[in-house]
Amino acid sequence: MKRLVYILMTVVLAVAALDGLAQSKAKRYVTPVEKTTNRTLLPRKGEKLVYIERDSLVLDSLRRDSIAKIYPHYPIVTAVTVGFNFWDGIARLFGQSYGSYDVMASVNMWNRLFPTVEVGLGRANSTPDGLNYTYKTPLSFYAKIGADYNFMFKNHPKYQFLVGIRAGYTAFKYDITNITVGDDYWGESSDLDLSGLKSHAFYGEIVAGIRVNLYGPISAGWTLKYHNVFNYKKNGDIHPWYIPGFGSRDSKLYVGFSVYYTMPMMKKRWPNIDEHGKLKDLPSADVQNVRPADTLGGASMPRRGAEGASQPLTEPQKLQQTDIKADVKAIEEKFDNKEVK
Amino acid sequence: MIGVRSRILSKIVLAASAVMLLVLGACGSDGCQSSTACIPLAQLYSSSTQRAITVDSISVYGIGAPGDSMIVRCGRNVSQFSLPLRTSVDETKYVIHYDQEALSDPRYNDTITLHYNVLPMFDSNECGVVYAFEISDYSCTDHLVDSMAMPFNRITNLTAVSVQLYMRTTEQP
Repeated sequence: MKRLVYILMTVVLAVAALDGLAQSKAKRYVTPVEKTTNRTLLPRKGEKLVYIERDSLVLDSLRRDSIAKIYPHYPIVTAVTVGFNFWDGIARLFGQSYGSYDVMASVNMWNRLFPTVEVGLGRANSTPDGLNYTYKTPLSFYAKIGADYNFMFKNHPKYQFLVGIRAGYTAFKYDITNITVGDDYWGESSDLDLSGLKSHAFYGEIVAGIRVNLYGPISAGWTLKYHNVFNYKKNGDIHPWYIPGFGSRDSKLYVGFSVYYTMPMMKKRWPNIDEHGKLKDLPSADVQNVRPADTLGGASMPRRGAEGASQPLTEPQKLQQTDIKADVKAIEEKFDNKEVK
Repeated sequence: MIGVRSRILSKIVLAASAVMLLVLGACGSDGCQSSTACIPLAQLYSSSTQRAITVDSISVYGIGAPGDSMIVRCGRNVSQFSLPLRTSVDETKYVIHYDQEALSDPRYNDTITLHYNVLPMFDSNECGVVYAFEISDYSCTDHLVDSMAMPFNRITNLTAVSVQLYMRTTEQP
């Protein structure tokens, strides 16, 4: 019995010692921890933690345990883009017998989400060689609505890789004229015109596109669409062949080429990055180039603050500082400024 | 690294432009994958066994065909033949003439009559406009033909055997 009591006491003491050790280690956490759970906070998806060497003389009030989130954070309305798709116009020069021409407008939200509206006109005029009819669709209106997601959201908005969806609708007329059906055995031939046929179609598209900047606010890019007609009016056995905004009814793929004009919005709240997505004019970038003098010493090494502190901050730097201060304040409020060292 | 992505994206756009222009110059139609005419196909069967048979020495022609042109002229081992329908009227008649010496008398000829509605059909740009036929009635004399059946009341360019003719036959030991 005594032996059992000794063993129990030993276990209790060991657990208490381990707990004390764990407590002392917990106090040495340098990453923000939640007060109630002691859980280390992880960055949200898409964010990354960057360790930077920060000089105590520069931005002392902004010290964040030498950990800073460095990623471009764009405002809710980053830009408004209008574009014109004219690829079918080029294709018609090469013999394509139909074409759709559309204007699109999209809003760049956080440089990630792009709600998009497309409106356009489509027409067809086809008299295939060796066949017995002329198919015509007069200029007909179509509209599409959808959204894209920019997988290059960390880059400058000048460069985008978008994947999205669209839903499209069109109501249109079509004529099939100059129909001649001959019969070799009976030696008969009959002529027929089918005019004024009305139809409508509802279709969906999965879109993938790339856009690159050409000059100033002008950019251009390719769009590849996989599409499918969900529903269309068939008119008995006289099915529409061309659907405005979709193309040939049996087609599954569509390619478009567009030129875009982008109007930046809320530009003061854009992160200060170059066109390759690299952060520039950031205080952190400055101190990264300046090694601590007290640890490295040498006269050849630039001293902390010797350049960065003496030069007045540029407007983007001030804005960036304001952003970082706001972030720090938010973190301090969240954790009551006790768990964060 | 991100800058590299931007440069790659620019190159992709340029390469896609070049490739698409080449594709545009080379693309063409696959052509019509189905028949461009809707012609009923007749199959001969034995009335006793219900199996497909071949018949020697028969001729088939349409009444009113120009120049007495024949669909089958004194054919041997005939099992199937087509029956082209007239598009200018809603009725077509065909005659089956038996060329065997004992049966070559026109009295033994069988006449097939088809009544139908002509329906223009357009499904694809490649196949163009064809006439489909909706069969409203059919009949056949019964000299050597025992009976006639049409499993489909609609003749399209996808239809297989659409006229079944059951001939009077005798079982041979």
